[in-house]
Amino acid sequence: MIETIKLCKVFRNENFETDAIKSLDFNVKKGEFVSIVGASGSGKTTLLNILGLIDNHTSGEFYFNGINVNNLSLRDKTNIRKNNIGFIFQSFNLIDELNVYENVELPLIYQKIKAKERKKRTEEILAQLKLTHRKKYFPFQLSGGQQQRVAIARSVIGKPKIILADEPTGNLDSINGKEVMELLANLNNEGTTIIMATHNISDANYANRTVQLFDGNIISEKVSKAYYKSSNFSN
Amino acid sequence: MLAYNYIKIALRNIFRYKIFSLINILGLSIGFAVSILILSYVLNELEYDSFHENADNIYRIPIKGEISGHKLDIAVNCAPIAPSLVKDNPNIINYVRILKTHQQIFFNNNSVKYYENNLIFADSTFFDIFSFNLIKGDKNKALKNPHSLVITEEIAKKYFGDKNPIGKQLKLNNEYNYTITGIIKNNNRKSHIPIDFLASFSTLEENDKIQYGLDSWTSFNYYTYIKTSQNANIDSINIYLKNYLDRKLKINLKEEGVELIPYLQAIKKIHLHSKLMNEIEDNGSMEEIYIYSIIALIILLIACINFINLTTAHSSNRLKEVSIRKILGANRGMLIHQFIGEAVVLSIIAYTLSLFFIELLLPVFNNVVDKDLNLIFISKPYFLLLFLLFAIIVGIISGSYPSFFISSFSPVKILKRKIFKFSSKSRFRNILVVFQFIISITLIISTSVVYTQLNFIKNEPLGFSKNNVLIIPILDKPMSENIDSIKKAIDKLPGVINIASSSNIPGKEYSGIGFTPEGMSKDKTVLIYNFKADENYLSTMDIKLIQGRNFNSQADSNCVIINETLCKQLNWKEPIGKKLFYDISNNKSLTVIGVIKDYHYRSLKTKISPLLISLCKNNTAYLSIKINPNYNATINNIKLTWQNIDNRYPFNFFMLHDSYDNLYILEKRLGKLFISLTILALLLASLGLYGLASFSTKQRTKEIGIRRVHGATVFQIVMMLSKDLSKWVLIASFMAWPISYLLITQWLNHFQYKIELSIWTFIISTLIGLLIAIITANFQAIKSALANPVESLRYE
Repeated sequence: MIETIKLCKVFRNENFETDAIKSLDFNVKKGEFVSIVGASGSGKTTLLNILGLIDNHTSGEFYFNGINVNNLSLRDKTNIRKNNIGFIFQSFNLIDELNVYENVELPLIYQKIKAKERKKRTEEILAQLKLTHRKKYFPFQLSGGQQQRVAIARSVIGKPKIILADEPTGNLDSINGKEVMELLANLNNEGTTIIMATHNISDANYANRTVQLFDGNIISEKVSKAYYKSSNFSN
Repeated sequence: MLAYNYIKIALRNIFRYKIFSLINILGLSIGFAVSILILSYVLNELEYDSFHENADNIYRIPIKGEISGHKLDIAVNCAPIAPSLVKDNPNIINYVRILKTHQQIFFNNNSVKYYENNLIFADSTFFDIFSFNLIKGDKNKALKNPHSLVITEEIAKKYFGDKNPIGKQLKLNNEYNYTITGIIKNNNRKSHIPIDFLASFSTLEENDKIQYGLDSWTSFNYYTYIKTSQNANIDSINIYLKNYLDRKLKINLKEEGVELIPYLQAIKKIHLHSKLMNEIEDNGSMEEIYIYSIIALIILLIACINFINLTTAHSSNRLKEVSIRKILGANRGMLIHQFIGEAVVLSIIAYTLSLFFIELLLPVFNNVVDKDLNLIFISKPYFLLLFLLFAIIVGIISGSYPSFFISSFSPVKILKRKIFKFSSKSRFRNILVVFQFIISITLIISTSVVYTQLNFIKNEPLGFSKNNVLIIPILDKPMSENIDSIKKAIDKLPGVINIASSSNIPGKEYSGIGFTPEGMSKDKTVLIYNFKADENYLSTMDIKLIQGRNFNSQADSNCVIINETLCKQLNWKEPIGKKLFYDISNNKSLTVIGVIKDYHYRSLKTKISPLLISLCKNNTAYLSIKINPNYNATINNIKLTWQNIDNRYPFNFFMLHDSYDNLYILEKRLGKLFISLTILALLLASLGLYGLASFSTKQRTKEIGIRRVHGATVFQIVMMLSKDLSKWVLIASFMAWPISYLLITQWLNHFQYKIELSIWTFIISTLIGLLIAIITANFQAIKSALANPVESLRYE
């Protein structure tokens, strides 16, 4: 599903240059749950941003579902992103001016889904994530765990093929964090590909495969027993 | 639906960011309100005389020309020209002549009595040519018979209450009975022809043809209007008119040193474009229209600039939302639509609020522009929709830059930092602030110059004394014939310093006669303005005699006193004893006995022209009484004395300084409007600056806290925050100076006598602008600087 060949990302300013990603070969199969671990500054978020088509790589090749992303226009990337990718952020990134219902519904608006269908799907996902009773609430009225559940609902409502989660439990306590990880694991069981960046080892263990980054390079890769059991992954 | 989503977000943002929204909405709504008010004034002015059914075929016939090198351009014509033209030229199918009384008159119906100013006499064809709304009476008969009178609804109510005045009578000057034959609707105010009382022209024909010069081709007193046929060629009529007076007088006027050319003046152009001598009433000015329209645009521009600046600065609060929307699939176009949509929502709210402001401001505006505007037209659906469309366009334009700006940011750059701060040094925003202050400082400079010039006019030595002079208009012949006993009785009163009678007073219209100076040929006729006065006139008015002597008896009836300008023009070094011939063929002349220092007998807008005073016999029009400064008791005594001598009319007077100062009503109006709009423009610019500065200070709260922790004083913080702003305001000032200079010198050129521009006007105006900017911008900064530093850091 995702493949990078000698992917590089260099940040430049007037005074210095940083190699955030160095010649990375990385791939993710459909249905996988991959966690990317590493210390702060290892390049986890940078990699996720590139994979999510919200940042550009400096050199190398990047294929998304077989399409070479190198030559895509901004408009094409936006289209791929909205139809294929869901995002979950550490700081939730809900829109403060919208209530729970409206935040969750938002991706469907951009996909130009008709109002009736949008209503149906939004109600369904809110019920699934036990948020129906909070649907008129605004983000500042919710707890951290509830906000992250809203973010997850928003990320899945568009039926994305892949979810990119950047430190999804970073701002949560252990109980809420566990709840979020269980949700992600369930989504993966239902067939959604998940790539998660985390520095939390216990979170990483929910994944089939863990990739360790250090200074922009993959230094190790570990598969879990579950990986071998669920061998239905495809490209 | 996306649009519904945008409206919802727009409204929620308005409530979330209350101060920002309030400043934005208030600024825009003030801008709309002022623009609409000024537009209503401009439309009102532009529509003058458009209501006549045949407006495009109605023309006035003024005269332009020259008398011995002295240029002439007068609104009036001679009485016989119009009927003669209708007979001679098939393209001219009808005419009407109007004579306006320039003195006060007195009307009464036995129980109700008033002094009035506005009586005109018009031919019976008046309602055939003009479309004034005659709501009672027969338009074919209303002005047919002598002593017929058509009045307005307002006048009818004043004299007759709710009774039907048709057939009733009003007495003019206790002498002539006029029968009411018609009522005109009050909406006649959109005409350059002022109507309160409209009497039949046949009254003049019946009274004294010679007195009114009805057969004279050289007596110019009548406003003459003609109606042309539909397809008449105006250029050919003008060519026809060129030598018409020559043909009718059967002489070659040029050989007499005279050129008199009648010409056609379209009626719709009179109110705003005609500035002839002897206009029937003070006209408006196209220049004023341009000035007001430009000012309206400027106010709106400042409001839009505020909107752009504030929205752009404020947009850093929306960046997280922008990044999330982009990540979730919104393309740039969608975001641009969203933000422009929000701007349009704000603009529509501002427009709605402006309708309330308009209602509130209308009485004040009417006072400033000295009109009685109503806003009926804007309550019509067509106009309401047009203004709504205008508001939407303003929203789109104002919202465009911020929308393009906000939607351009890359989501990943936003996500990398928790708080993204826009640089308070945004070049575009600074350019807009500079532009606003160029406008504001230009307005401050212009306003101070207008006021200085008005004060100059008020205080400039006029060559006569207008203060403490009481004027009594003399209404009729019996009063005029009794003038000596009136003067004797009043002169004895305590508080009366001097008393004089004359046919004219400073500030009124003067007529000119052609004279041939001694020793010059017939073709060297000089036009000299003239009036009659008694031997006390010079001392009453404090006019200085510099050569010769004053009048001292009736033996001086063929003697005249002239002014310095006439002496200079004739190159007379020894004028005493010289003659001025008014009928050289019959050797009829007047002898110069004295020369007075020039004085401004007309306004300071016109240069002093040659003047001649002859001795007043029985044609007194004004009694001028010099009284002591504490004059209330004196006036009362004069009133009682008057009533003992002549109780036919109620005692009526005015002060000379009041009537003279009325010469500058237009300039005073401009001054009032300028100061109102300058204050408004400054308020708007300051509002915008406050909003921007508040935002910028909030952005730097952490920095302020850290600096305070490390020992910076409040003063140092404020200086740091104002440094940039002061720089921009100074740049704005230096750019405003040449612009202001060009504008004000152009305006000052309307005055013959004007102030000298001083550099201090520019410097002080700049300092005022700077002070306002610094106080406004630093209000928030001082608040932040005074706060406990830990609060600033905790905020982050």
